[in-house]
Amino acid sequence: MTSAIQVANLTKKYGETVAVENLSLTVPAGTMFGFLGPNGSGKSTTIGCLTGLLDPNAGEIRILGEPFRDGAVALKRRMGVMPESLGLFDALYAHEFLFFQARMFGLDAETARRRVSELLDAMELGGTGKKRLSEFSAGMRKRVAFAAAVIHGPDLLFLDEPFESIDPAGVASIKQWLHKITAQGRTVFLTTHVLETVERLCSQVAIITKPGKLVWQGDIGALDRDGTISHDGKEFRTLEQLFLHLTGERYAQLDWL
Amino acid sequence: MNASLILRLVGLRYKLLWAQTRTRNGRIALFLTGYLFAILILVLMAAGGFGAALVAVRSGKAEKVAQAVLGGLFLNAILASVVTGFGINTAFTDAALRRYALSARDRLAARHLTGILEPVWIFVLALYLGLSTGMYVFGAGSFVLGAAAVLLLLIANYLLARLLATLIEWLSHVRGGTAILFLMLISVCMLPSAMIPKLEHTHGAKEALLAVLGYTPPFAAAALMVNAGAGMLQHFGLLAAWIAVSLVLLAAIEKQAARPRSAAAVAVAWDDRYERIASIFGPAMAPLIGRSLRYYVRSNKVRFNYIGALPAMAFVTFSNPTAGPLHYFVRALGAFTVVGFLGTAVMSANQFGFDASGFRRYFLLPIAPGAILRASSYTALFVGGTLVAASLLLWLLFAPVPLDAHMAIMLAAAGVGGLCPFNALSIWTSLLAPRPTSFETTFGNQLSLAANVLLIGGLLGCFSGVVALDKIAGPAAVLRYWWAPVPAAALAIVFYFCSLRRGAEVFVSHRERLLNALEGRN
Repeated sequence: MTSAIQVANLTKKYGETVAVENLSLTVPAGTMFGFLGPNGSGKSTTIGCLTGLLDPNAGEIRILGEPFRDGAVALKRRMGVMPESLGLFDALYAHEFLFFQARMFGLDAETARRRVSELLDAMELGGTGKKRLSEFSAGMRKRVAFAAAVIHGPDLLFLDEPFESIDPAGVASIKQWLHKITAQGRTVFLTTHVLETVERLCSQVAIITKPGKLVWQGDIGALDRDGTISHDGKEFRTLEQLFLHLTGERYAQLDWL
Repeated sequence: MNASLILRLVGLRYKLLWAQTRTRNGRIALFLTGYLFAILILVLMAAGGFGAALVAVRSGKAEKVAQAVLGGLFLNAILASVVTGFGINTAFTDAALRRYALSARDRLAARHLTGILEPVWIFVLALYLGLSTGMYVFGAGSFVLGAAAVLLLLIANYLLARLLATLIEWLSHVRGGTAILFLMLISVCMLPSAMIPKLEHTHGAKEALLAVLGYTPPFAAAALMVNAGAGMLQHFGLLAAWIAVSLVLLAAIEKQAARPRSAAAVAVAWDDRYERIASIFGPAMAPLIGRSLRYYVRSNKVRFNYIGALPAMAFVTFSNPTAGPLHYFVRALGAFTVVGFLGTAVMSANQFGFDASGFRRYFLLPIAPGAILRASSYTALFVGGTLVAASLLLWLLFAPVPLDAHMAIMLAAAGVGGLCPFNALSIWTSLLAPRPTSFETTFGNQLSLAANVLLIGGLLGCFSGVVALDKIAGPAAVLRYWWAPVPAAALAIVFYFCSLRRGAEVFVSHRERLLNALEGRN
């Protein structure tokens, strides 16, 4: 199986603060890959480095088999990104924003218009013609950001917290589209804090801890097959148990609550 | 009324102001502002407060001097707060205050109390109090009455400024509002120079005007400062009436403005105007320029400045009605230099400030990042250029100067020669001193210190330059060198493109710093 993403010894520092330390990771092509970690563990920074937003201090990145260097224009055309902060242009209407995105990724005007209309209908945003993105609800903004990430049919899709704020029907639609994308041999790299979603969606998972250190990567299909995942001689019945064990996070007790 | 919570909110407003000094830029701005404020207060207290009182009492025209000083301060406070946004952009909107356990009346009180206790209004109060205390010290009035009059005058002043700002904000959102605003601005800028000569030559006009002005808040306050007895109740009543009417009007406009703009669902309608205009810059740049153009056209801040730039420059050019036509021309050279930049500066001097998290997206696009900076800057140049072109057309059609090709060349060259270096320097203020800015607001100075220095310094520099040129060389000598602005404009263009080229490199190398600054993490 070829790799959609290969990361070797990636390190990213902000001044003296290490955000990602010596991270090595391989994401097989055609998989739905869950990238997990506690808050502040460096997930978004890693995505930033993998998508060209941030410059790593050290390490090597290969995307879709090619080295990913500064300004890799051709590779970026094959990638779709939904950042955690969504990266919307608030003064635009949804269709204008999606049309802009489509044109920037090389679609001709006619195709761009057709896909925008189809996506807006699919996302139930068809009636927002004269509403600026700044006036959208959190869930609607997320839908627009998702549509912008997929409008050009990318081979590799990065989704940072894609399901937060979206209603159950919207989540179901997105999950269905993600399955379709991976079935076509394309890759989805997603981060989320909802571990049940990862259990149901992803075949491969990587877990990192602060500061951006990989502590586990593997196939979570065993959860479906055997009902447990083995690690360090212990058995975990859920991804949440494994996650808490690996990250050292615990349930805090507040007497007054 | 929940007085303790309201006072805590006022305290919070000051804490938020103080919090801005936690950054390096904030500390520099605080130091410079404090220094300038201290000098201003000293000068104005001497000239406009105690000094004015001294002049008033010694000349035996205490009430007239008080009317003139209070009237001037009153108008300037309204203009300054509306134009710059200082003192009317409170930290708390009604929507923000709904989070707290406050009734509608409490929220109204909290909003206006935090508004009127903004530093700028305290500064205005100090000036008013300086005059009334001076009057009392020199034996021309009662301290208590003067202080009461000053307090009511301040409230009226604040409410009128807020009323005007809210009206402008509302007009900028409604259909046809921009045209009404433009007419309002033209009237305000052109009326004084049109009316003053007529008033001077019409018998009894001055007296009639003074009689009308007698019903305004500054005149009522001046009367209370110096006439303790006669008509006291009438003047207090007049001030109270102004406050009451302003409050009622303000509430009515706020209620109108709060109505949702588009309640019904509207189907997607493709509007290619922006793309058509942007296609002038080539197919690769068109989507980026189309996006930037929408930002310029849809920003209330830019719209307000854009439509205000021409009347403001006309006012500056023609504000001295006794000057001859050729002197107007020399002043117009200054106006043409800045008009294009003035109309767009709120966005062009902080090109990425309005993008918020959208800034991230630039680096995810499959293009060289330098193209984004170029597109953003070309848009500013283009939008500013339309103002220069409009100014030239209006000058050729309406200026009280005979048509002259040399003048037209000089004015056009001044326009280009101003637009290019201002936009070149804007690239640097945008890259090195970015500021996250709210797209939705009309008022408030949200530019960085460097951008403010560029804007205000540029305006003052250009106008003092042409005034000096007019006085030292004279219009005839200026016209003799009609060709001089042309090479200056050519140099300006070279400077612009060099800045753009170097700026594109800095844009890439500084992108993480820019990202942090624009997402509020510096």
